[in-house]
Amino acid sequence: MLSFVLVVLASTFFIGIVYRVRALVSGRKGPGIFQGVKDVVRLFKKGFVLSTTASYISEIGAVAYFASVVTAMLVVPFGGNAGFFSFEGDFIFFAYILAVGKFFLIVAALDTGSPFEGMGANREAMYALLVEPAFFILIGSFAMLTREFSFFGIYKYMHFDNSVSYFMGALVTYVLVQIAMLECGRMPVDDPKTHLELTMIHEVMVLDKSGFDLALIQSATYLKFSLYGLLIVNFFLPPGTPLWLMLAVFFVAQVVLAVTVGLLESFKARSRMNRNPLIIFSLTTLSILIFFAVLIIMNKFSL
Amino acid sequence: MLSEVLLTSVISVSHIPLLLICLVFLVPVVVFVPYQLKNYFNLLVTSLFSIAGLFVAVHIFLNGNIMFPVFGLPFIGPIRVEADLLSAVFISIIAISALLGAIYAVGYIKPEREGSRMNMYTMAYNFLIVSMYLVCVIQNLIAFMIIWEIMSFCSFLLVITEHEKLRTIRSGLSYLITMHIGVTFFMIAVALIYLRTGNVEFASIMEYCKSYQDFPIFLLFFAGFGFKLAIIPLHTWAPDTYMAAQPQIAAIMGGTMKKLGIYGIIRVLTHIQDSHMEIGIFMIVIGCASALYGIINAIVQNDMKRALTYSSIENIGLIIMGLGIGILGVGVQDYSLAYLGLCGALLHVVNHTMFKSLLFMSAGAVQNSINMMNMNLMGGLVKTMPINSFLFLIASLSICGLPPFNGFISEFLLYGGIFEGLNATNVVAEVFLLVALICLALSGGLSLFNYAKMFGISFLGTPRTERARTAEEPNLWLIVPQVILVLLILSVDLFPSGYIHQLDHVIYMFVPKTHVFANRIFTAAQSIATVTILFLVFILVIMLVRYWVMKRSGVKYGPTWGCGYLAPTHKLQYTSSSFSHLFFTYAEPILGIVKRNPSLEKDNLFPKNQNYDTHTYDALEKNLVKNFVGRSEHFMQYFAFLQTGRLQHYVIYGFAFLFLIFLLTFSEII
Repeated sequence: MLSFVLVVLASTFFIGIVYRVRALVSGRKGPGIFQGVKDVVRLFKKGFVLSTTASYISEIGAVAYFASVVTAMLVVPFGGNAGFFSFEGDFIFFAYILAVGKFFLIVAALDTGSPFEGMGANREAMYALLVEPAFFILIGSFAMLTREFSFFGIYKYMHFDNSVSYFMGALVTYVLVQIAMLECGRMPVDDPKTHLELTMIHEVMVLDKSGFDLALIQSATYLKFSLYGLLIVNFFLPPGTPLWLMLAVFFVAQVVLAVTVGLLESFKARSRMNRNPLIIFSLTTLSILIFFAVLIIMNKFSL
Repeated sequence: MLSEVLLTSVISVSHIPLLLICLVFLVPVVVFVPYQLKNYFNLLVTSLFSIAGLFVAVHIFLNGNIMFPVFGLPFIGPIRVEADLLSAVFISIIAISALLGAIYAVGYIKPEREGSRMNMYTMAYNFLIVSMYLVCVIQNLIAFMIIWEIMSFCSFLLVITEHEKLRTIRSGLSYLITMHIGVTFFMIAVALIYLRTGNVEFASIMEYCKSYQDFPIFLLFFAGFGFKLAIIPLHTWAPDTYMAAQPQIAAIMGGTMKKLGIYGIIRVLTHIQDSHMEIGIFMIVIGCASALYGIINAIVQNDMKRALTYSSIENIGLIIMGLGIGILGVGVQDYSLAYLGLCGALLHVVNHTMFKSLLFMSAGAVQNSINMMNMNLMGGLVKTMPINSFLFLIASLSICGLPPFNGFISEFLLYGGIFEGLNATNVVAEVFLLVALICLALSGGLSLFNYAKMFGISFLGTPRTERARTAEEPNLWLIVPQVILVLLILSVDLFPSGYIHQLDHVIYMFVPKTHVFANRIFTAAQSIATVTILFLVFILVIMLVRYWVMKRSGVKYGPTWGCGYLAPTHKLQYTSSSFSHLFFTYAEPILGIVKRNPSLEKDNLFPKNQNYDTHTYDALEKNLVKNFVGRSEHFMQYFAFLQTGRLQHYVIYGFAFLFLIFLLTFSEII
C-alpha cells in the first residue's frame, strides 16, 4: 500500500532530477525537476494521431504496458510493510508481468509497419531477453539466503552483517541499477536524448504513439525507474526501523540514485550496439558471483 | 453425481474393450462411404473414440485404476492391461486433441480434391488414436513395442497424406526410419530385461534394477523415447516432418503423440530404484540443452511451421528439465522440490498440448488461405483474418508463459521448484539447479522474442505480397477447434487447482503423500489469479478512459511516420530475416550459417547481377547425422555390387544366409 504511493511520488521527480543533473554538469540550467510530470500532463490533454496501418494491437499496446507496470507495483513491499499482494513466488510474477508489457510494446511497434519501429522492437526484445537471467539469479540467491519465496520475506530476513555481505550489497546495488537503466531505456545501452532514429531503441518504438498513448508509455517508464529504485532501497531497510526514518531513507536514496544516474549519463557515451550484449551478460555473470557469495555465506561448500 | 450415474447405467467400463474392438471394425467402412461424406464419417468415428477415451479417463479420475481382463498371446505371453491415473492424464489429452483434429480436418481437407485419399487418411487417423490409447494402458513391454510401432506407422501414413509432393515423401520416410532406429534402443532394453528377469512387464524393470545398475537401462529407454520426443540430438526428423504434414496432423503429432514419449519416461522412472540423482542431473542437462538449442533455432527460421517445431523442441526440453528437477528432488529426498518439478512438468505437458495444437492449427489456417508459410512474404493478416490472428496471439502469449494464460502457471511451478530446491543441502544439486534457472529464464526471454517476431511479422504491419493482401478468414470448421482450445487454456488459467489435483496422484507415485506442497501452491495460485484479474481490470479501465479521451479530443489518421520519407513501400518493413538478424550475429557459434557474399572487384567497372544470401541450417543435424549418414553411405558403396536388381540373386542370398546359420548351429558356434 505504502510502497505503491511512494513509487508514484518518487516517479514524479526522479527523471526530473536526472535531467537537471545532466544539464548542470554540462553547464546549463536545465528544466525543473517536475518537468516530466508536466510533459505527461500535457500529453494526456492532446489528441490522437493514429497510423492507418495500425490495428487493435496498437490500441491496446500502450495500455497493456502501463497496466503491467502498475500491476508489478502491487507486489513490491516497502520495508516492513507488505505490498498489496504478497505471496510465494511473487517475484516470478513481477518479472513476468513486466514481460507482458514488453511483449505488447514490441508487437505494437511492429503493428505500424514502420521500418524504424521494427528496428526498435527488435533491439528491445533482444536486450529484454538477455537481462532476464540476471534478475532471476539475483533474486534466487536471496531466496536461498533467506529461505523465503516472496519479496516481503526476502526483505524481512535479509541483513548485511559481515564482510562478504557488504561486498554482496554493493554488487546487488550495481546490478539492480544497471537492470533498471536497461529496462527504462537509459545509458549505456540506450540513450533517450539521441536525435537519430537509427541509434534509438526505446524511443524509436513509440514514434507512432501520440497523446494519451505516449503519455502512458512515458509515465510507465518513470514508474518503472522508481520501482526499481524501491527494490534497491528495500535492501537497506532492516525491519523494525521507525517509519519516519524509512521514509527519509527512501527519499534520500531515490534522490541519490537519480543523481548517480544523471552523473553516469553525463560522463558516459552510449555504447556501440554490438557491445550491448556483452554489457548485459556481464550482469548475469555478476549475479552468478552473488550466487556463489551466498553459497559461501551459508557455508555450503564445507560439505 | 447424476451424470456419472447416467453414464454407468448405460455403459460400464468392462464394455469398453468390446466397444473399442467394434469401433476398430467400423473404421474400414469408410471405403463404402460416398466421398463427400468421408470427412463427416471420420469425424463421427473419431468422436466415438474420443467419448470412449474420455469415459475411461473420467472413470479413473473418479474411481481409481481400472484393470482390464488379462489375455495371452503366443510368444508375447500374458498381456496385462491396466489403466492408472498416469494413463488417464494422457488418455484424456489424446481424446480431446483427436476430436479437435477431426473437426479441423473437415474444414481443411477438400473432398472434391482429396476424396480418394480419405480412405487411407481415416483408417490411419483412427488407428493412430486406438494405438495411442493402447500405449497408455499396456503393461507388457513387447506388446507395448508392437503398438508403439503401429502408432509410428499410422502417423507416417498421415504425414504422407499429400504424397504427390516429393518433399513430403522424403520427410515421411526420414521420419519412419528415425522412429525405427529409436525402437532399436527400446528393443535392446527389453531384451536385457527379459534375459535377466525372465519377464517382460514394466514392473519387471523394478526387479531388474534391484540387482543391476539402473542408469544404463534408463538411458536405453530414454534414447528410445527420445527419438519420439525429438530432444536434441535426436530431433532431426521433426522440422521437415511437421512442415510436410497437414496442420491437424502436425497438431496431433506435435501436441499429443510426442507426449507419449514423456509417458514412457515417467512410466520407466516409477520403477527406478536408486541413482535418481544421476538421472535427474542427466535429464536437467539434456532438457536445458534441448530447450536452448530449440528456441535459438526457432528464432532464425523464416517458415512458420518450422519455427513452431523448433519451439516445441524447446518446450519438450523444459518438460524433461522439469522431470529432471523432480527426480533430482526424489534423489536428494527433498520432496517439495520433487513435487514442484514433477507438477510443473506434468502441467506443462497438458498446457503444451493446448497451445501447440492451437498454434499449429492457427498457422495451418493461414496456410490454407494464402498457401505459403514463409513469414517474409506475409504481413497485415490481422486485417484480413482478425479472428485467426487473435487466436494466434493468445497462443503466443500462453506459450511464452505470460501471466494471464496457462503457460505461466506451469513455468511458475518450475521456477518455484528451482527456488525451493536451492534450499536443499546438496551443493551439486544446487549448481545444476542454477543451470536450470539460467536456462529457464533465458528460454523464457528467447521465446518472447520468437513469438513477438512471429506474431508481429506475419500478422501485423503491411502485407508484403499480393497473396497476403487477399487472405481470407478461415471457415468455421477451422475456427471452432481453436476456440475450444482457447477455452481449455482459460480453464487451466482460472482453475489451476482442479488440474493440479488430478496430477497430484501421478506425483504421489514418486513422493510420499502429503498435502503441504499442494496447499502452498494453491495459495499462491489464488493470489496470482486475483492479481491477474486486477491486471485485466486495469487494462479495461484504462481502455475506457482512453476511449473517452478519444471521443473528446478526436482522432486523426495518417500514414505511419517514415522520418519524412514520403513514399514508403511494404519493402521497408522489418522482415522475419531482418528481425532475427541481430540475434543471428550473437548466436552464430551455435547456429550453422551459410553466407554467400561475392565481393565486387575493384577493376570491375560494369558489375553484373549479383546475389547475396545467408541462410541457416541445423548445425547438429549437419554435423552429427548427415556426416554420419554420408560416411556410412560411402562405406556401404563397397557392397553395392550385391545389389544387382535380379530376384534370382536375392533368393540365392537368402539361401546362403540360411545355410550359414545351419552350419554355425551345426558346429555349435551359436
